[in-house]
Amino acid sequence: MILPYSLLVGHRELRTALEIAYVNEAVGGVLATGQRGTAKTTTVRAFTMMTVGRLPVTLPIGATDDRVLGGWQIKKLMRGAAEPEDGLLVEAAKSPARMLYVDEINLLDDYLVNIILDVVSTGVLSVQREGRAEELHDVHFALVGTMNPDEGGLRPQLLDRFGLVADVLPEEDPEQRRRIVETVLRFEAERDDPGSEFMAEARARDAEKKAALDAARARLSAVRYGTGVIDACARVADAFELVGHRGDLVLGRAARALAAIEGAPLVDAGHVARVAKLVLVHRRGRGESGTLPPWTAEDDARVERTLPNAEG
Amino acid sequence: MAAGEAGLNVGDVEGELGGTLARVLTVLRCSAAEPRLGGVLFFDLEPALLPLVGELLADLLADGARPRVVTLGSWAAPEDLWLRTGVTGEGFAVLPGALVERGGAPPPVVLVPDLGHAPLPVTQAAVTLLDADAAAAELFGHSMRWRPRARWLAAVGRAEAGRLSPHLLDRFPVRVDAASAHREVRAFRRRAPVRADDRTLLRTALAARPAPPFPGPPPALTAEAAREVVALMPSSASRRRDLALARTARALARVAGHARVGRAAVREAAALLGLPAPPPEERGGDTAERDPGTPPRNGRTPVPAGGLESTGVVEAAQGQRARSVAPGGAPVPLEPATVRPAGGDRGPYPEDDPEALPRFGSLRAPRASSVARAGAGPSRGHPVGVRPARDLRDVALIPTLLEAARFQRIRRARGRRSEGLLVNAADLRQYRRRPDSGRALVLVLDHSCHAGWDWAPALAPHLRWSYQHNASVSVVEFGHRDAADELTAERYRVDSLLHPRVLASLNRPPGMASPLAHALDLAVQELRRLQRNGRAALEHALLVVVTDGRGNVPLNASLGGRPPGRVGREGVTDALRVAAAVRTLPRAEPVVIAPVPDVHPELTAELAEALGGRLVAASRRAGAGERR
Repeated sequence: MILPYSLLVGHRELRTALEIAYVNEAVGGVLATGQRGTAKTTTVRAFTMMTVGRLPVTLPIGATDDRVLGGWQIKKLMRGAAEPEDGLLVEAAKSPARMLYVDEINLLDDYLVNIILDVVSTGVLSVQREGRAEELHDVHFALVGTMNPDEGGLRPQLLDRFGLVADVLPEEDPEQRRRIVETVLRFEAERDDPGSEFMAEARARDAEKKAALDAARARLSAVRYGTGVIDACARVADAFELVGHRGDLVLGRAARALAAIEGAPLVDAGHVARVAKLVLVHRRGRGESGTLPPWTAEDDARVERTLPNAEG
Repeated sequence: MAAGEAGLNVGDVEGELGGTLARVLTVLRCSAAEPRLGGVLFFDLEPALLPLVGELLADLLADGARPRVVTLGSWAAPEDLWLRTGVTGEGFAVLPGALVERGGAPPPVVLVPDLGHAPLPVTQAAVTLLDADAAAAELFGHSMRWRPRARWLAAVGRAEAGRLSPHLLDRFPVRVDAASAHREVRAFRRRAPVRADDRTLLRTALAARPAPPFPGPPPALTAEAAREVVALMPSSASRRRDLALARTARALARVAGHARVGRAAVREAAALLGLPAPPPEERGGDTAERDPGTPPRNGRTPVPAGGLESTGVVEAAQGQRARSVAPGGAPVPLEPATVRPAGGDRGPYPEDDPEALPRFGSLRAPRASSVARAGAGPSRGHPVGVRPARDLRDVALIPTLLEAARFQRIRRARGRRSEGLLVNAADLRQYRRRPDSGRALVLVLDHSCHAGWDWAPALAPHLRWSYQHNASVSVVEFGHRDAADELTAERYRVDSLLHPRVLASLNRPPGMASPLAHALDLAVQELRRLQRNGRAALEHALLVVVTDGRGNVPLNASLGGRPPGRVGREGVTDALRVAAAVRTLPRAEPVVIAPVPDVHPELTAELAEALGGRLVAASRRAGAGERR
């Protein structure tokens, strides 16, 4: 059993990113970057448990090509019967969460990264190997990854495939640390206790949250962009010298999802401002190294300078 | 476990234990009592003692069935851990590996006798499984998913621990200095009232205190205990350590039969883990654990509003746990932690020592075998096809089976068996792989310092090495007049040194800006990429940096693409900071080529030192001017 989502302490940025990506799938995937021991994986798993009731399809370290792309059922093959088996990419696309989770994604072999990149970009999985020759279309899933930047950056091409990037900082505030210790130990003590009010309350809060997110998802198409907001997204993208239009589009989609979550009928400049960091932090850099420049007060100020005219 | 085994008196035996042995046994009890405690790392434990310690833990965990004890030495390969081929009465069968857990069986005990030299599959497995809610293995047509409960015990020399990946060490938050354990075992054996083997003696000592399985729920953590955890563990540490300290305290309270976990248990746990003691004036009384027999109250205590973030304790009915609930008042602000860092010479966390120099990539090393490196096998590079096998190395399983499948009807007509797949030697297929030399040259060219000197003579030996070994070449260049953006460095890759683009890069007109820090950032990422790229082992990477060290563009200016205001020494400082990462990269040899004499010769010396490489000084041409 995973720690219920409502029991997570902190991680506001990552939670917001996951919720936005859930409400509006068109935003794309989420990358969580942060130091070790910051519960990035727990947060992702808790979120998918809350939303779809099961763990995400996970690409583990050391997965072989046939399990990623698809292959044959070996046991049957050894008995002389050839029966194909889906790989993790197809499994992720068919899963209720429509998510492929990759832990330590920056340590993944470039070869596998290229395969994932191709499929995420095109939605087409072409398997031409080991006796299989097929092309699957509409293989769509959200790529969700975690990484520790100390172990190296991610290629810009792959970074760009993540709609949102959340910076997960270690909790150093003593009060927050105390809450983490108390909550986790209490969860461990009571998770298997069917009579635990603590767990019942957490499950109820999770159900409430899921219902709210589903409602936001349902009303997403009814949320309209306020006058000038789309132009404002383009101006913000321009101010950050983004290459291409993916950044503008994701900015607008993420702001719309946030408005839906907040129950607002219109997307306004405030929504754009609040999602700007998640959308822009990995797109504004020029370096090929994948090292993300820190988001500074100057970046916030630039967003604010660009946005006041959004309403007009 | 049988107390009083071999006629020994439990009380007498426990009293004879030395301090280290007593600590080891206490940690084993905690590990058995707390499934999520995390890995236990013994510093300087005599290698022969780890199996004994593992057997003792297995004794504690035995609950009807005895747990498997799995030893992962330097021989461990992925096929041992996740998926193995076994021989059954009817032929071969593919079976779950040693680390795959099955429902209903007790959790296995995993022993790593030398974590410092554990092979990559073992360290990866530790990172994947320890303290994880879920585990998965996806290999060769098999998908296995389970909830990991294994207890991991590892040993490492303290001197080596600082060189291990902090990621890996983070999965072993419980540390025990066990250097004197073997001496204490000998002394314990000598003093034992009867002759018995070490395991029997130590099992008897373990039996002196209650052991799992414990009846009822675990003791509840009090708010003051949680505060003590936060106060004793430095805030800069991973939160996993906070939880390990709290879980150890809970296990100690449970072994002691307490209903709640108070400050004293946390302090006892901190002492057990070797954390620095709190200041004496803070050693206060703690009544939390002293009243386990509090009169019961009826029913469960409702969680008040905000209970998930609450403090305080409400005592529960006997046989039920006490619960933390909100006190109703304002939250009490906590004092920031003031204890000294837990690294240092004898501290439990040597990786926190600023002098620690973990090796980058120890969790993501290439997989090629030494046989392949010697050129005896084909298993280098990615597969680009298959061919009939010439030997039994790098056999492609599926193509082999598919090849065999084509002839089944014929073979059955001729053969004796009518079931199963009939495979002949001629069916064996082997991968054809992309050639890869395993060598790489990363060339960093600072054109801004090129005026007035010829870098060719100093560069020539390195370029020759690259050509002779057919090394892949990555070039990072900056500071030239043709640059599209003078604030950033550019990187490109070519398959060979003979690519015309390399020649062009060696002859560019110098410019003004010098984003040295950005160039080094690109070079570091390139080296990391090379080291984790595919099956091919990177045997050697040569990093050649041609520069005068006078970087004048801060890294953030390059990354953000905005001209800096006042720069000062920031560009140089950033370059040195980024360069330090190269020291942690295995199989990388840095060389700095610099012009002399120069205005600031100390800059290139500092850079070479930061990189951990050599400095080669090249003379300027007579009468040549300084950089503009």
